[in-house]
Amino acid sequence: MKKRFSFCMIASLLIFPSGFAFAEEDVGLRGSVELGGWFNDSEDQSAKFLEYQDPQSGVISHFLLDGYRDAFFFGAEAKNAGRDDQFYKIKGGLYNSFKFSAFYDEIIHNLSFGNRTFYSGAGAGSLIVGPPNPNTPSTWRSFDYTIEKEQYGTDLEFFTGSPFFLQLDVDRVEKDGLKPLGTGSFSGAVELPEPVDYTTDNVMLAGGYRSREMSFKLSGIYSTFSNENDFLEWENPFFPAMDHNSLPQDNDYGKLDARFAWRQLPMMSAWTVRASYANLTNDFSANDFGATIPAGLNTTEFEGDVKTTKFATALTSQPLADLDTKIFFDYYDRENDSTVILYTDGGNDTHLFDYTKYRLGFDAIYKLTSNNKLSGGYTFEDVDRRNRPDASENMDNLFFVKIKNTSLDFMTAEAGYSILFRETDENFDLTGLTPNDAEFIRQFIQRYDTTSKTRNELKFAFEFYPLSKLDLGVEYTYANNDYDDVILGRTDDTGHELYVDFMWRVASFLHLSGFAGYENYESDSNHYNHQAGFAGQTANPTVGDGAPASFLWSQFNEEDFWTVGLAADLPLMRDRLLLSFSGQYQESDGSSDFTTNGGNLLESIEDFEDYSITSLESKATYAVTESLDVTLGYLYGKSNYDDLQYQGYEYDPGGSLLSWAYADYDYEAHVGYFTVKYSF
Amino acid sequence: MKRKCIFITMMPLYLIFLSLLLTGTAAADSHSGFIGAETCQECHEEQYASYAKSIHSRKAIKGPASQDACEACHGPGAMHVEKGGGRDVDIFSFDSDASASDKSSKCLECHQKTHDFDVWDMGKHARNEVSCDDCHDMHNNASQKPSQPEVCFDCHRGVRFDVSKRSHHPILEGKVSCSSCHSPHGSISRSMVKTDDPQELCYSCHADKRGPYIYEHPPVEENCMACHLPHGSRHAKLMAQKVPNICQDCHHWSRHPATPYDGESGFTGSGSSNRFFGRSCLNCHGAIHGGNTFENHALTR
Repeated sequence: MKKRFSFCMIASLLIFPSGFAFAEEDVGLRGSVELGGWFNDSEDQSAKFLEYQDPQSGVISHFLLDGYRDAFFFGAEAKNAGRDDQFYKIKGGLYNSFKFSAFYDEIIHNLSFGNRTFYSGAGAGSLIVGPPNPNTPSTWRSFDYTIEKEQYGTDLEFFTGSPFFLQLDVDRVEKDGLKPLGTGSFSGAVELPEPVDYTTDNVMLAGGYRSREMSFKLSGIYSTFSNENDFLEWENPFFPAMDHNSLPQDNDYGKLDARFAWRQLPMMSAWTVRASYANLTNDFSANDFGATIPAGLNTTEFEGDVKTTKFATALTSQPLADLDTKIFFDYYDRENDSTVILYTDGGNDTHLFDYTKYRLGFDAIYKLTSNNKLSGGYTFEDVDRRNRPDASENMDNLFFVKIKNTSLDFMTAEAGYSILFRETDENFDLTGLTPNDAEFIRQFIQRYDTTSKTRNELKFAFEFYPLSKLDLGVEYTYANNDYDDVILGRTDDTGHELYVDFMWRVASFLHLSGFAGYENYESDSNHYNHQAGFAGQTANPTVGDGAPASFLWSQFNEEDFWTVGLAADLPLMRDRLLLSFSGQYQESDGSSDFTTNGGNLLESIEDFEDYSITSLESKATYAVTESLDVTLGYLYGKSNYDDLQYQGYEYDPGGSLLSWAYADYDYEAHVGYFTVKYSF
Repeated sequence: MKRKCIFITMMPLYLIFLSLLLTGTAAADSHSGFIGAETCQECHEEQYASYAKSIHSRKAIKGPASQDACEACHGPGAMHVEKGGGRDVDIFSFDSDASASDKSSKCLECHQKTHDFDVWDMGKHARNEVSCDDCHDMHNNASQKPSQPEVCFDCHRGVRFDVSKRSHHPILEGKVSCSSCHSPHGSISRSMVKTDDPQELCYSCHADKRGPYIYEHPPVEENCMACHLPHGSRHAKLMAQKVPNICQDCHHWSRHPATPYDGESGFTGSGSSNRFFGRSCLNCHGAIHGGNTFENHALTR
C-alpha cells in the first residue's frame, strides 16, 4: 500500500507541471531535487535517538517544485521519499477563485527498542503464553514498540477571491504498531504488547462570508474513529485463564460551529460571537469482549453519548486613542448521557462525570506615554461539576498587571504579575460512613487540579541591542501554587525559569546564535499510609489511630534542568561555501526526600529522572555551480539516563512480568549524510 | 429543549441580519503622488529584486502588482523622491519607528478578507504590538511564510527549551508546527489554540482517547494539561510530574495508593515493589484515560 501510494505521489509530481506550456509571459517555475545517503551506526540502539525519524541507513531524497502561469499556481513537495517519515504534498489553484492541496505524511514514533515477551501473537488481538516459558526471560521473543502514523487527505477552497467561501477538508489517519499496556491482577503485573490498528476519518465542510467589516462562518466536522481490536485477549501467565482488556472503542464525533465577527464598529471596536454544539457517541456490548459477564450487572450494552455546547463572545475597543480594551465571556457545558452501569452490590457502578464552566473578564492596555504601556485585567471563572464531590464547584478570581517600556534604544523591558485566588467547594455524602470505611478518607483529599489555592506568578523580560548586529534576550519567571487547605495531596509547588538567548552577526563570515536556560521546580505533598478497617487502622489522618502500620508521611521533590546551545554559520566563500555548526547540551537532576511519622525511616531517591543529552551537528554546503549544491553533514548524539525505577531492570521481578518498555534511553550515536541538490 | 433548538436556529439568522445593518462601504481611494515601481527600483535595487521574485509582484493576482506595486504598501512616493529620499522621509517604512498596528493595517488592506483573519483584532498578537512583518519577510525571494518554529521562539523563549526536552511532540523534527495547534492570526481561545478548548485540540490527533468511557478519569475529561505539558517535559509521555508522584498527589485511597515508595522500592531495593519500578502505577493501570470493561473501575482493564 505504502509503495503504491508513494509511486502515485511521485508520478503526480512529475506529470502535473507537464500540462503547462511555459512559453507565456507571466510564468515562473522553480524547484529543486536533492538526493543523498544517510548512514546511522545505531539503528537499533535506542528508540529515543531519532524518536520521530526513520533510523535506518539508506537513500534520502527531497523534491520541491513551485510554479505559476498567470493566475494559476501549482506546487509539489516530497521529503524523505520512501522512508518511514516521508512527506508529500501537491497544491494548486487559480488565485481569487479556488485552491486545493493533497498530502501524504508519515510519522514514525519509536517508543522503545529491544523489548521482549513470552507471548505469541504480538500485534494481534489475542496473546497466548509461550513457548518460550515466562520463567526464562532470556528466551523470550524480541520486538520493538513502534507506532507508524500515516495521514493523507485533501483540502479544497472555492471562491477565494469573492466575499463568499467554501472549504472542504477530508483526511484519514492510520496508526499501526505496538505500544506497552500494563495490566495484571493481585497475582502480579504483566506488560503486554498492545496492538495499535486505528483509523480516523475526518471531514470538515465550512462556508461563509467575509468582508473588511464582517465575516461569518458556518462549519461542520464529522470524525469517526475505529479500532481493529476492541479488546485484547491474553492468557494469564499466573493461572490458567483468558483475560480481557478493553482497548479504545470505535467512536463518532460530530460538531456544528457558527462564528461571526464584526469590525470597524464605533470606537474602533471588533466583536465576535462563536457557538458550537458537538456530540460524541459510541456503543458496544459486554458480550463483544468474550469475557464472562459479571454477576449483578444491570445491562450488557453501553451507549456512550457526550454532548458539549460552547458559546463565546469578545469585544475589543479603543474608547480612547491610547486605550485598548477587551471584554469576553465563555460558556462550556459537557453533558454526559451515556448508559449508567449498575451492579447489585454497587461496587463498580459508574458515576458519569459532566460539568458546566463559564468565564468572563476584561482587560485593558493603556499607553502611559508613547514608550510605556500599562496593562491589566481580571477574569472570573466558575466550574460546576457533577459526580466529582471533591470539587463540586470552584471559583477563580484572576488579576494581572503588566508594564512594558521601550523608551531606550538599546533595551526593551517588560514586567508582569498575576495572582489567582481559587475557592473550591466539596460535596461529600458521608452518611453512614465511619473511620473504618475506606471511603471516609475522601473528605481529607484535595486534588491539585481543582482544589483551593493561591497562585502567584511574576515575570520579567528584557531585550537588549548593545550592538547594531547583536540581539540579546533575557526572561525570568517565578510561579508558586499554594494549595491552602490541603490535608492530603500536593501542598505547594514552585518553579523558577531563567532563559537567555542571543543572535549576533559578528562579521560577514560569522553568524552566531545561542541560548541557555535553567529551570528549578519543587513540590511538597502530604500522604497517609493506611488500610482502612484492617488491624485497627482508620481512614482518618487527623487523629492517631494507634495502629503502627498507619502513619502520615510527606514528600519533597526537586528538579533542576539546564541547557545550553550554540550555533554558528560561517559563509566562508560568499554564495559558494557555507559551514554550519550547532550543538546543545542539557542536563536534568532530580531528587525526592521523605519525612515520616512511621516507625521506619524512608530512603531518599537521588536518581530521580536524571539525564544528560548531547547533540552536535556540523554541515558543509558547497555550491559547485549556481544550481548545484553538495552537502556533507555529521550528527552526534549521546544520552545518559539514570532513574531508580529502571536501575537493575529485571523482566520478572517479584512475580511481575515486564517487557523492557521505555528502558532503553542510553545511546551514543553517529550519523553521517551527504546530498547533492540541483535547483532550477 | 425545543426552545434551545429554536434559539440555535434563529441566532445565526439574526446575526446575519445584524451584520448587514452594520456593514458600511469603503471610501474611494485618492490616487495622487504615485511614481511607479521603476522609479523606486532606481534607488532600491536590492529590495526591488526580491519583490520581483515574490508573489506580491504577480500581476495576474490581486495584490501590490495589480495596484501600485511598491507604493501599494509604502504609500505614494512622489514627495519622498522630491525630497531626495531617505529613511521615513515622506514614505511609509516597515521599521521599528512605525507602530505595529500601522504596519499590519497595510497588509490587512488585502489580507483582512482572507482565511484566518476573522479575529485578528482581538488576538494576543495584534493586541501586544506584533505586526505581520515581525514574522513574515515580505522581501524574501523564496517564501513569505515564516519558518516555524524558529520565528515563534524569538518571542516564546520558554517553548524553545520545552520542545528540546527528552519528551516532546515532533516539533523540532518538523512533523508538528506551532500553527498545527495555535492560530497566530488571532483567536479568542486561550493561548490562541485553534479549537474552542484544549481538549478538542488534543483529541483531533489523539482520537483514541476521546471516549466516551464506562469508567472515566475526571481530569482527563476536563483538562489534558492537568497531567501533561504539551510543549515538552523532562518526564516521559509529556507528564507534568513523574509517575508515581503525579498519581499519588491525588490518590490517597486505602492500601497501595497511599503507600510511600522510596529509595528502597526499585528493582534492587529491600522494599522492591511493582507499584514503583518500571512504569510504576502504569504497570497495572493501563487504561488510565478511561476504562471500558464492565466490571473494573480501577482502570486496570
